[in-house]
Amino acid sequence: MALKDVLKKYKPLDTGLSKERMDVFQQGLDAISVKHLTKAFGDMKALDDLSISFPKSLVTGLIGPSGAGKSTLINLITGALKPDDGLIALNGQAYSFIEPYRMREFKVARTFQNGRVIGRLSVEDNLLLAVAKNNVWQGLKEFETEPYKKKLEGILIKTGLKEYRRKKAAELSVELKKMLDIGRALMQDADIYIFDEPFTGISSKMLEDVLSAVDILRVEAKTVILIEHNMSLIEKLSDYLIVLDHGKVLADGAPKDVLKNKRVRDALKM
Amino acid sequence: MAYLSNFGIVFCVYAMLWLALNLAKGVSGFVLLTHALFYGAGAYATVILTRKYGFSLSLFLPLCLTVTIICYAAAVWLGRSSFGRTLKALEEDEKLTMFLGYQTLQYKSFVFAVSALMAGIAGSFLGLYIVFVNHASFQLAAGIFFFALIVAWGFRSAFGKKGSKKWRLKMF
Repeated sequence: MALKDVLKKYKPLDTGLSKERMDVFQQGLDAISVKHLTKAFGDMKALDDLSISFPKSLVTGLIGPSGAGKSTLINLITGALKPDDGLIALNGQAYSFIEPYRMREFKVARTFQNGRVIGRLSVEDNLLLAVAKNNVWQGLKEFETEPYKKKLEGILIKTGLKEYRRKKAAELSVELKKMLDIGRALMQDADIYIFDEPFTGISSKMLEDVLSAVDILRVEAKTVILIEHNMSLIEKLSDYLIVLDHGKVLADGAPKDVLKNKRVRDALKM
Repeated sequence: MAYLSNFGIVFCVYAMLWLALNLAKGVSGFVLLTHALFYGAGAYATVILTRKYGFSLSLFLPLCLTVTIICYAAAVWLGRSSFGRTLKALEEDEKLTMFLGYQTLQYKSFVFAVSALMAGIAGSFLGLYIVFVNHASFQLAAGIFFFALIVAWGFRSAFGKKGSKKWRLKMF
C-alpha cells in the first residue's frame, strides 16, 4: 500500500467532541513558548530572534524548507543546545537553558529523525530505559520490571515490535529502529511529545501505527509537536501549523489558512 | 601447596583489578589509568596497619577468595539492576541517556568510585601478602599494565570492533 492510499483511508478522530481538549484550548494556554530565541552556528544564524508558542493540548505541525531551523528549535527547547539569547517557557515557567536530563521532570518526550536507539540493549531494555528509576540509589535497588509491564506490552503491540522484544536494537532494520524510538517516547508518561519526522522512512503498516498513536495522544489531550515534510499529511494531522524559514516565523495559524498563504507556498515550493 | 596458595592469591588480586577495570571500561566505557594509585594506596595502608597490629597469614587465602567473590557479586549486581542498564546506555549514547532523564555525571562518578574501591581492596591484599611495598610498583606503567589485563582477559567488545572515535581517555 502506498502512502497515498494510507492517507486516503486515514481520517483524524473528531476531537471537537473531546470536552477536555476544548476547555484547555479555550483557556489559550501554551505548552511551550519561546521569546527572542537566537542561535548562530558561526556566521550562520539558525534561529533569528524567534518568538513562537505551541498551544497546549493541540497537535502542532512545524514545517519549513530544510535549514529553516526546525531541528535547532527542538534542540534548544529540549536542552540539546544552548541558546545564544532568549527565553524558553515550559508550562508557564521561563528558563534561559534547561539541562536535557530535566526533560523527564518537565514531562517532555522526543524522538529523533534517524531513530536513535541504544544498540547494545534489547528492544525491551530500550523501552524500559525511558521509565526506569533515574536516580543512582533507586536504580541500584531496582531489578523488577513488573510495574512497567502493562505499559511495555501495550507499546510493543502498538509499534509492532513484539516479536523482536529480546533482540538487540543494533540488529533491527532502520525502520524498526525508528519505531523503537517512537515507542520509547510513547512509553514515557509525558505531557508534551515532540516527533521529529516520524513518518519518513517507515513502511505503510508502520505509518498506520504511528497515525493511530498520534490519535490516541490527541484524545488524551497531550501536546504534540510534529516536524514533517509531507504537506498533505501535516494538513490532515495538525490543529495548528507553524512555518519557519531562515530562522524566522513565516506564518502560523490554522493549517488550511497557512497553506493558502502565498509566501508559505513560495518558500515550500508548493 | 605453597605454590598453589601463592598462585591463588595473585590470581585473586588480579581478578579484582580486572573486575574494577572491566566495570569502568566494559560497562560504562571509560579507560582508567588511575587505578595504580588506588591499588598502591590500598597496599600502603594495609602494610602500615599490619606492622602496627600484626596479621596472621593462615587465613589469608580463604579471605582473599571470599572478598574476590564479593567483588564479583557486586559487579553482577551493578550490571543487572536498572543502574546497570543506564550505564550501558550512557556508554553508547550519553546525550540520549540524558534526554531520558538521567544525570549521567552522577552515574559516572559512582561507577568510578566503586571501581577505585575495588582496586584499593586488591592493592591491600597484595600489600598483606608481599609485606614489602614501594612506590615503584604503583606508577603509570602499572596503570597501563592493569589496563592490559582487561585487554588480555577481555571486556565487552574487543579492541578492533569499536571505532577509534569511541575511545575516550578519562583521567579524573
